[in-house]
Amino acid sequence: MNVDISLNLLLPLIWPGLFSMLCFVAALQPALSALGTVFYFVGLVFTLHALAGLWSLVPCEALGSMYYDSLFVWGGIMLTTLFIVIGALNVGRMKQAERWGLLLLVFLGALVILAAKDLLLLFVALEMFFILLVLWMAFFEEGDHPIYATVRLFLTGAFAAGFTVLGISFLFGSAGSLNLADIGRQVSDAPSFFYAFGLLMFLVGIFFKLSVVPFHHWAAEVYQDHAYPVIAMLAVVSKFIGIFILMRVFFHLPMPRELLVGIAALTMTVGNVAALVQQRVKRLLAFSSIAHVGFLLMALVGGNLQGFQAMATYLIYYTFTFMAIAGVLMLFRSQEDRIEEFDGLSGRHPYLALTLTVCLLALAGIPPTLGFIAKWKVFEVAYQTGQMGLLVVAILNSLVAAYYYLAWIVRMYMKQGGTLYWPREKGLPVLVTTIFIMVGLLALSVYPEWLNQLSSLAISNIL
Amino acid sequence: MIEVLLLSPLLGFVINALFGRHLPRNLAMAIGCLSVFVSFVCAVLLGVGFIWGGQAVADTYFLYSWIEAAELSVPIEFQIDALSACMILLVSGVGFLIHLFSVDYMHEDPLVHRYFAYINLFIFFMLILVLAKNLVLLFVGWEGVGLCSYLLIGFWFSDPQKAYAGKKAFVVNRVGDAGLLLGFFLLFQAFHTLDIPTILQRAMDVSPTVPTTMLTLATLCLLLGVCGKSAQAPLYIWLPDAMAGPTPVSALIHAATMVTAGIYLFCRLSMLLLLAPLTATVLLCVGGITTLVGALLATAQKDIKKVLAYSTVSQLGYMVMALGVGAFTAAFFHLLTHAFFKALLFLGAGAVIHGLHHEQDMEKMGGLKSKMPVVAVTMGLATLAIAGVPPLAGFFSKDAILVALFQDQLNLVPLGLSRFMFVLGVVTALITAYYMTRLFALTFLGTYRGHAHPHEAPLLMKGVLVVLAVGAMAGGLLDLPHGLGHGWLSARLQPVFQLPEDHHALSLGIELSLMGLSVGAAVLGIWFAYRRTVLMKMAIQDASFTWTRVCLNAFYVDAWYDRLVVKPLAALAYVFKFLDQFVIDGFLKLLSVLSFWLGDLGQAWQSRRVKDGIAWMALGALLFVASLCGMLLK
Repeated sequence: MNVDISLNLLLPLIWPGLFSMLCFVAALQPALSALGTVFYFVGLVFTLHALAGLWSLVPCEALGSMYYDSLFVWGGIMLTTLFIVIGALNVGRMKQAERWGLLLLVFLGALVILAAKDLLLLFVALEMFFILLVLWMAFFEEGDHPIYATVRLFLTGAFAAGFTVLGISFLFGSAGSLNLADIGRQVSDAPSFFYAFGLLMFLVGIFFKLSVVPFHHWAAEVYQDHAYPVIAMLAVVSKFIGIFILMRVFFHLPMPRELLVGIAALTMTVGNVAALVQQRVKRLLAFSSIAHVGFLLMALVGGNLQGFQAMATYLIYYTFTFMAIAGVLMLFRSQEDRIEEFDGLSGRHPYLALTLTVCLLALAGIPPTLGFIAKWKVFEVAYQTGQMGLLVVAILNSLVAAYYYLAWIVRMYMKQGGTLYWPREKGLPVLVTTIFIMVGLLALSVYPEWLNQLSSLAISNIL
Repeated sequence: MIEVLLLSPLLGFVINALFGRHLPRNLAMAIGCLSVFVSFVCAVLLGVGFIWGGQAVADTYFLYSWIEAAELSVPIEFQIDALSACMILLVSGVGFLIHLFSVDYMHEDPLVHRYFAYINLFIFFMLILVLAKNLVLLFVGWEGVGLCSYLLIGFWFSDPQKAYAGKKAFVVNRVGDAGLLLGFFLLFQAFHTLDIPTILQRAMDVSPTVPTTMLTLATLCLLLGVCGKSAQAPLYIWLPDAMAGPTPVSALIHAATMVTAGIYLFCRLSMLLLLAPLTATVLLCVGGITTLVGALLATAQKDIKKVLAYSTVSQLGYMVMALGVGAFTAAFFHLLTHAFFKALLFLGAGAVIHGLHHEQDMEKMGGLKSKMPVVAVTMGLATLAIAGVPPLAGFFSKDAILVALFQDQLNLVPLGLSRFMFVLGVVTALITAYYMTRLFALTFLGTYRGHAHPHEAPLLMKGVLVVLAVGAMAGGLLDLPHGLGHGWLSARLQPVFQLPEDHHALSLGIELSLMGLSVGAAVLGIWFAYRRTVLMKMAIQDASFTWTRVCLNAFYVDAWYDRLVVKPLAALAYVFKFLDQFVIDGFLKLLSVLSFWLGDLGQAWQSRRVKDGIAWMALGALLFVASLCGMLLK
């Protein structure tokens, strides 16, 4: 094997590791701590470059246990962009360099997950991602009870990890291999009880990450007690990774379709009806994100390449819209995080109210935002694969969802007396990022060609 | 190029809509005008090949695919041929002039940035409408201009009457648009595509696969849409009320461009009309009735803008009549010349209204020719043009329509009907000359009857009026009749309409006598009006005079609609209200009650204790295992 090529393959992993170490070194001297921010973004941009360089090399395998295919490169680029956005939302907020270093290591863990073809590597990377994420979360002082929420996530996450590892061991026991492709070949002959049990236990762990009902209990509690950057991280990156793992797994293994259909219907329904009665913004966002996972699972159930493409579209839409909405909300100074505080916001901050309105319309799936197109594609897949029951549930759910998103908009424009305001002295990077995303969301919906190209790249060359 | 043409006014809209109130007023107005000027330059560059070069094959611009679902394919795709080239030049050119006029007209309005935002958006949608290569995109433009029309009619929405006028225009147009949509659906059903050239090509196939009844039904539905947008009977009632908007808006939207969209639509789909003679007959009758009713109503109005509004209705009726006998070139020719002289008339009226501090009642005018000479001269020219005095624009285009009615080359309609409509056209020409001269005489001749202090229009306004007056004078040269020379516009439009060559052109003698007839009608009308208003000093008829009262109430058409359409519909609405409240709302309420109830249930599920979360997770895992065991036992 040519040494030059293998170095190219490793570069996307080397850059975040290298720059995170630089961040930790910078943390030694308080005078240098501002460098952490710089190292973080430089590391991510280098990674982005290295990932883009992989296009000419895919598909191949690296280090014996990693898939480098179009799905990985696409996911890696998405993930890097999302981390750049998260970084931008935290500029000026995260002062210490070690926090930036931790965030880069979280990113590294997530990146390895996207490529893992080996269940052991997958588990190790998942734990690296999770434990470092918890560490990173513990630095935040905003929110009601951030430390309490961090510990809560850690405890429940540890419990869920137990299920994952149990499932992996049963899968290994039944197939004699940890490699997904090998397991898939073994299983296609005759799925055994142990295989099925292993898969289900493995899924419990992943479903926890995705906050799929009934493993969603932690989401609302952690969100409510924590700061918006953490919420964005949990609602976006954690779910992105979870869905990605499911895509990988079910590309090789037969899909328990009835189970997933049931879970998808349950998740979107519980998420939406629970969001309906929330009075606090962060809890509402938690349940809204749960409902969106239901739609993502619905696309997964399609199972064919078109389903993957619809899911890729939905992922682009959901992750960036959620980032934007977290960005807008993080600008405000709120006393109690209650939704009444938004009353009459359009009078006080017309442009911010407009931005928030666009994001909410996008989440509700109303044209001319990207949300409409993404939802429509998912519905199309469900229709074509004959999931009529799920389609009806999804449409009723869209109706319920529209209610609470629109009610929020009504508050901003038609009611009076809220107290929320934007202290203008800070938050310029957040504002710029948010507006950038919002314009992108509108542009992509009028010009869906890029979106189609982007999402078809993801499935162009899967290993 | 085409991107710039379209995006420039859109950008103007976005800037003025989002940031207009923070911009200096002059900058906001400059952005509004400049964006349309850029469009105009692009339109000239794009259209030059068709207008001067005589290019016959249409240019298509595929931008990107927009909606793809099974059989339905809607790309963002535009086409330019001679027809749309003329239209984009008209829309951006006249649009730009009217933008300039608005700078003076609206400069005192506190919401001037909003005005320019709306009117820029209108230009954008109108360009989309005339450039669209498929029917969905055309519909986007069609609805977009309707929206802008609504917003601009109700621009001074704090006056409830004006807000009501906007609403009325919107609702009446909705009736038409419903028909238009049905027509599009039927066309899709018949041709399995929405691409306009493909539809026309399939319709013209030697072995037709689409039955005539289907085509007739589809075109009749389209006709309803045209009646709405182009203010034809029975849906013309919104246009006179639309005069509530600022006068430049009336000039641009309700005279020169938007209301001609219906004429444009049938020009675009001309082949379909030729295959559906029944629709053509209906079209001819609708046009005939509208042109006469509009002209009669215009004879006794007091409001200067109302006269012009009914006149627009009547002139649009002429164009529709021409469509009915398949004389698409004549209809389009009249559309172009009408855009010039009617825009000029409206802007002239605007200058008068502006000069008199928002006085629109002609009873309070008179003798203004000495106070505002430029306005008087340009208005006079426009009056002669619309009255059909040679060699001004209106004479040639109206004559082309009358000749087409007389000749009826394609035999689409019964011969007697087209001859009858010809007579009606000549009579209407007489009435047109009458009411326009009356308007001019009441406004500019005689002695001043008002109390405000009239002042001449500002420089920019005068400039715009003069430019338009040149158009109104020379517009007729675009398409001279056969007897006098070369039909330039006909030659350009020949590849678009693909009509057979004129084999049996009229002999010079008949053509000249037809011209003489229409000139005679015009002169008679002018003399009659001049005698009544100037010589006999019968300024405005007493409202007790029956004819005046009937006209001022618009033949009581609105009242009859109220009785025959609105009231029964309202009665029906009670039934639907019942259904809505108890059946549909009931279902929705059930859904919402159920949702809230489930939500509360979910809340109860939620608790703050960590161990509860873990308990739910364990329960979920147990459920998975249980279902697995259940499957195994089966």
